[in-house]
Formats: sequence, structure tokens, C-alpha cells
Amino acid sequence: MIERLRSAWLGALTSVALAATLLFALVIAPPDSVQGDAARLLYLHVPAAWLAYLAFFVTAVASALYLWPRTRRPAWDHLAGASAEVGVICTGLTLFVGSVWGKPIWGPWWEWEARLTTTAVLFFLYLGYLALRRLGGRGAERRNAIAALIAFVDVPIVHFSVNWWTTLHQEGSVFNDRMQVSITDPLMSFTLWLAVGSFTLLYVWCCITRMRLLELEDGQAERDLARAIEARVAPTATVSA
Amino acid sequence: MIAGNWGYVAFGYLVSAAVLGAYCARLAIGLRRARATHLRLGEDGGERRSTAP
Repeated sequence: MIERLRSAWLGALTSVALAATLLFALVIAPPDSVQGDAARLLYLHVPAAWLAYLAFFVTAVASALYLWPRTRRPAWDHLAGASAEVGVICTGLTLFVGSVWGKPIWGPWWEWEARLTTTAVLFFLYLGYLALRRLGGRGAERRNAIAALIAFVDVPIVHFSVNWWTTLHQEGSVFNDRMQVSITDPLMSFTLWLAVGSFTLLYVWCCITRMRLLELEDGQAERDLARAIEARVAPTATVSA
Repeated sequence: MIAGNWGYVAFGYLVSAAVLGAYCARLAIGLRRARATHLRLGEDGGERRSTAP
């Protein structure tokens, strides 16, 4: 009951934060002096990308904790799965919103340059990870954890791709003093941080809910297995009696 | 050009809201159903545990 109340409160807080983000992003924040209103896609693109990083980092840490014998618990596997699912959705949204933003600013919908390509690879890597999780089978959790750690190698490549290669995509502008173009307007900056905060709340709510769902599904699968064993054993017992 | 950008902004926000909304709804409905099933089968599981040798 307490858990449900907590989840409801978190859900309500997330909804309010997202509504405030929408208000600031679409109405209160001023348009960019160069890009005009297209820059409003920043408040979706950056938080989605940040969440993808966070989600895959949590997946990697939870997978490592599952692989470590002393900390091995089913909850770590559930957290890895839940977080990766949110991460895949956020990576998909990052690619989609980036493409929609790129059209009026760059011209094309898509360019095969380093940042975009490595992000697309990241999306398909974790899509494969989620497909692998659905296979199940003996030792599936261990196999999934190893796959998650291998997939995480692409995250720093995505992040540093703008520094390592010449890309159409700009370098990071939030914590970058060298950038000539950065977010100097306080209202735009506040809106961006509000968006990052509200998306992080959404991530926490999604992860908690998905983890609980995975726990219940696991319990259901165990009950189904016990029932199937009982059904098999029962006729044999009748015959032998 | 700048006025036309609102079309891209609306497209980006609407699709993102639809995707995130659908995912959250799926989670909430899935959890509610799983809880209902868990509660329904919970007594059965309790009986099985109590009669185990």
C-alpha cells in the first residue's frame, strides 16, 4: 500500500514537472536568436540523450553487480532490464527529435556522420540486448549481464565522437567553455535544466514500475512452472497408488 | 523559415509525447493487471506453501 502511494506521488510529481517543462519549452522560453523556434526541440533532444546515457550506465552497473557473486540478486537483473528499456526509448527519441531538428537547421533529415551513426549503433545494440532478454533459458541473466556490459562500450564512443572526429553535430555546449555558441539566456538555461530534471523523474518512475512488473512476471512464471510440474507428477502418483 | 519551424517543433513534441505516453500507459496497465493476477493467485500460493512438507 505504501509502495503504491509512493509510486502515485512520484507519478503525480513527474506529471506536474513535465507539464511545467512543456509550458516553459513552448511558451515562456524565448526563441533562439539564430535558429528561431526550432531551438525549442533542444528541451526534448538533450534530456532524452542525457536519460539514454543515464539509463545505459545504470544497466551496466546493475549488470556488473549481478555478475559479481557477492552482490548477485534477481533485483539487479530486473533493474538492468527496466533501465535498458527506458534507455532504448530515449535513444530512439534522441534520434527522432535530432532528425526533426536537423531538417530545418542542417537541411537533410539524416547524415552518416560520427555522432548520428554511433547513436544509431547504440540504439540497435540495446534493441538487440532487449531481444536477447526475451529469449530466456538457463543462465539467461548471466548472459544478459555480459551483453549489457559489452553494449555499454558504445556509450563513451557516442559521447566523445564529436571530439574525436569532424562532425556536423556540434560539440557539447552545456559544460563547454570553448564553445562559441552556448546557452547564455538564463530562461533558456533554466528551461533546459527543468526538462532534464522532469525527464529524470520520468525515468525513475518508469524504472520502478517496470521493475515491479518484472518481479510480478517472474513470480507468475515460477507459479506456472510449479503448476506444470504438479500436473505432470499428479497422474504418475495416481497410477503408482 | 522561422515561422515554418513551428511545424517541426509540433511534430517533434507530438510524436515524443505519444511515444512516452503510450509506454507509461502500457506500464501502468500492465502493473495493474499483474497485481490483480498476483492477488488472485496469492491465496493459492499461500495454501501450497502451508501444506508443503
